[in-house]
Amino acid sequence: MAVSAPVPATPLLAVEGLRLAATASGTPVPLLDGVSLTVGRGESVAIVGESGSGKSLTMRAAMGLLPDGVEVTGGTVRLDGTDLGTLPPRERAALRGHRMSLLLQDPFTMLHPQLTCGRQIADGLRPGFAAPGGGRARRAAVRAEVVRRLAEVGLDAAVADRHPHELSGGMRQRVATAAALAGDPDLLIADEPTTALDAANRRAVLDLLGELRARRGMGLVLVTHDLRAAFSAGDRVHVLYAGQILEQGPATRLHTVPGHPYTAALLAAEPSLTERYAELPALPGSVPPPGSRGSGCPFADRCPHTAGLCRTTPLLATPVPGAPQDPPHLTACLRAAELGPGLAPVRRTVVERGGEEEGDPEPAPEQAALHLRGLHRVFRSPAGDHTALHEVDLTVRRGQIVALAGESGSGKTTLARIAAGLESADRGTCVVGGVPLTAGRRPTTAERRRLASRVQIVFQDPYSSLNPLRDVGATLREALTATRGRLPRAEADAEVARLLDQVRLPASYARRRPAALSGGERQRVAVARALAARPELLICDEAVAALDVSVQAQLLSLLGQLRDSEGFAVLFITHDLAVVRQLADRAVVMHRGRVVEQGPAARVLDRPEHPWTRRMLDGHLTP
Amino acid sequence: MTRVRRSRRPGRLLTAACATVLALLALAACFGTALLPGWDRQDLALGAAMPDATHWLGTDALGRDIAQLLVAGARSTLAGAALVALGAMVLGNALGLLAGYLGGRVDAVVHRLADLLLALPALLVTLVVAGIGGGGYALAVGVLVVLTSPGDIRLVRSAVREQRHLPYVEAAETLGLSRATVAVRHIWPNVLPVVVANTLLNFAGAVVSLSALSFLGLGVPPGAPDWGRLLADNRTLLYDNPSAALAPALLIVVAAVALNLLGDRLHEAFTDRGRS
Repeated sequence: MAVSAPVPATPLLAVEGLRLAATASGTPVPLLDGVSLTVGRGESVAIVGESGSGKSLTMRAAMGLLPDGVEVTGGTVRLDGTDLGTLPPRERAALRGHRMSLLLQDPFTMLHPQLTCGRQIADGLRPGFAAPGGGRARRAAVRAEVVRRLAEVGLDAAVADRHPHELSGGMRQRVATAAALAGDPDLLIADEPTTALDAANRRAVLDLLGELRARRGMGLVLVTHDLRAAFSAGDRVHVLYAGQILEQGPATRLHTVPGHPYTAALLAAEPSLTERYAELPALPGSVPPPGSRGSGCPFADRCPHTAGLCRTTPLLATPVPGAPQDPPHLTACLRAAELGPGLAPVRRTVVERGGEEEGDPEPAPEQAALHLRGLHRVFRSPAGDHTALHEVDLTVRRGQIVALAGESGSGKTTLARIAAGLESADRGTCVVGGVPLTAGRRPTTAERRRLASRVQIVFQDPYSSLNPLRDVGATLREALTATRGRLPRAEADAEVARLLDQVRLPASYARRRPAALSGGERQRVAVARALAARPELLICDEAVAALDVSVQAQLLSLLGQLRDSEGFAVLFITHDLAVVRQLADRAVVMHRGRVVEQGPAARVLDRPEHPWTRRMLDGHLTP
Repeated sequence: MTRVRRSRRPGRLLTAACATVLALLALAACFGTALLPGWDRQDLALGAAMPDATHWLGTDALGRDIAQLLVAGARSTLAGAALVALGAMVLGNALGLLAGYLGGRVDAVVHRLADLLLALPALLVTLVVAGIGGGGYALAVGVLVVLTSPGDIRLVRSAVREQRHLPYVEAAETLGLSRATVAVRHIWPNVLPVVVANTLLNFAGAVVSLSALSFLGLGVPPGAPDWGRLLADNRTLLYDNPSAALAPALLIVVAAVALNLLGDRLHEAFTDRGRS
């Protein structure tokens, strides 16, 4: 997919100098500041950026589907040379689905829950879909077409009669793809199509999109915050930051010789599947919010190479020195020429921590941070029983970081919830930091109180893991009093400040409500809340999965450092094997409720023994 | 994605108007009879008369001043309705929180109970109870509390169930906090927006229901100043003094609409509380 298609004279989609602003508050706040890009027929273009960069807005503007209160304040969007801004809304709507189509992120909400999948695809077929005769003959023809469309995305005919809730996330994303393509669009815009999927499906959906693009010769725009997805599926990549394009060029070049410090920093923050780095160089700070962006480079405040002119000179895309002309490799960095190859990330690899070798004697149950034997859990429902955990054995030693890897539905979250006392096992032994939990019932309040100082959990979704009505200080103070008894106010405040400092947040954050924090900051507060209980085991349930790569790097480094200084053990649940490599001492792979492989992390990743582990490794995206 | 809200300046004006209306009505309810000691003076010789300079809204069949009766009647209409709304809120929240948070058997029992109450035709039950208990204001209020609460129970229960498995609730549980603490200190404040809005809606509904009961003669005794009662008593005067019947009807509508609008606005304000 690295070969790029030639761009014809009139590109399929041409966005030029696009400006968007939020106009609701009276004074327009610029959100997008002069974004230009082109997509040719049969070409795949990735737009990559952290949350808040404006990548989704760019594509919504192209589709003519901007949310209320956001307006186009400049620039043009042309489809095949036609300026879409001049079309009346009705004509513009007619283009959607047939000339250009949008594929959205969430496979769980994107489809109509009450219509069969076949019906949703049929609805998108061209109005003039050639069907001979009427009535039954027409219905049969539509049906045949729907089956053909399903086959195109790798699903069989039976799916046509099913409702979305009967399908897995990966299958829904395929149905949604078929529905988006039903009108045979020339251009498909996929907005984070893989973000909600696990690793194996992620790869499959990207491969599918690439295949469809090649077969249909359509243009594909992939909007994503996932660098690996962008670099593996895009011919050309645009790096968007704070509403401006900082760098653009062929994927292979951007990946190996980035021309902008921001691209370089993003690449450096990305953990690798094959090497463990001494440290993931995390970007300091966060994306400047709309309205607080100056005239110069928006990245200047976080850039290690900032010089005086950077803050005042408006961005101008210039060719990266020494780059081939076609397709062009452009950077908005003033200092690209003098920095040159100095931008390439330098990272020191380290060997795995010694810790544990295969065949080390098992610690006694009460000596381990977590000791599970024969853990079994079945979820019963009218639709049928689902065995979430099947006789699972697992040990986490004190102070050890164990990664629990598996696709969605493998039972890893159920295991975590049982260990945290939020769910009960049907049978089996579960000893957490010396506290035995009884199978068959949820722990009582007294048991939970004892458990609190043994195990704490950090959840995936940073937006709902903090009580939205309480400021950070109140949340942390409550965690302190719940686990250590009532403290005098001054002492509690000092302790809150210490906890915030541990997660590298300023003490002033104690007065902030969660709404005033970014996703990464919220996850840090969630970690601080867990640390307030001084647990022996910290469970992280996909705690970095929803974060941007630079924020993910910060949190991964933080967890490693805190483990070293505080000595707690970590059970880290993830579907990302690169994170396993970067963080874990030991890796446990689960598949359909069973532990299929476990051992020192390096051994499991370098010499996998179980076919499923190999499948997960194969599914891992590499640029 | 940046979410931007449309300006709601006209909404603000409306909210202020509603609040003013309700404040005036509350004042009337509290101090009405004290400010107008002669509100129940009769003038049988005058009888029902059209509005004039002395009687702004005219008089009823007993020659009582309608305007003064309306001010005096605010108390029984509004206080009763407020009691109904508050009572239903307390009952509904306690049971809804229990059912939603604990789930299982408690939930099954509470939920069926609410279903049962909802299935009963409200007015019929009130008529039967009033028939057996002999009617009266307190009885009407009590029956309305019980009949209004299932709506609150269901609402709170479903709102609580939505929150129950959110990470912040589970995090509070793993800190070893008691169930009562988690339910009351963490979950309840987050369902409060719907509770408050619904209570105001119940208030509005109760104004109408109580007036209806008084209209049917099941609430306040005849002759007492109450908007529903006035509407019932004076509907025969439509030709002699239309405002004697229309003014109380209008007041009932105005109070109900103002309460509804304010409830909506409060709901929005509370929902925004969690955002920046």
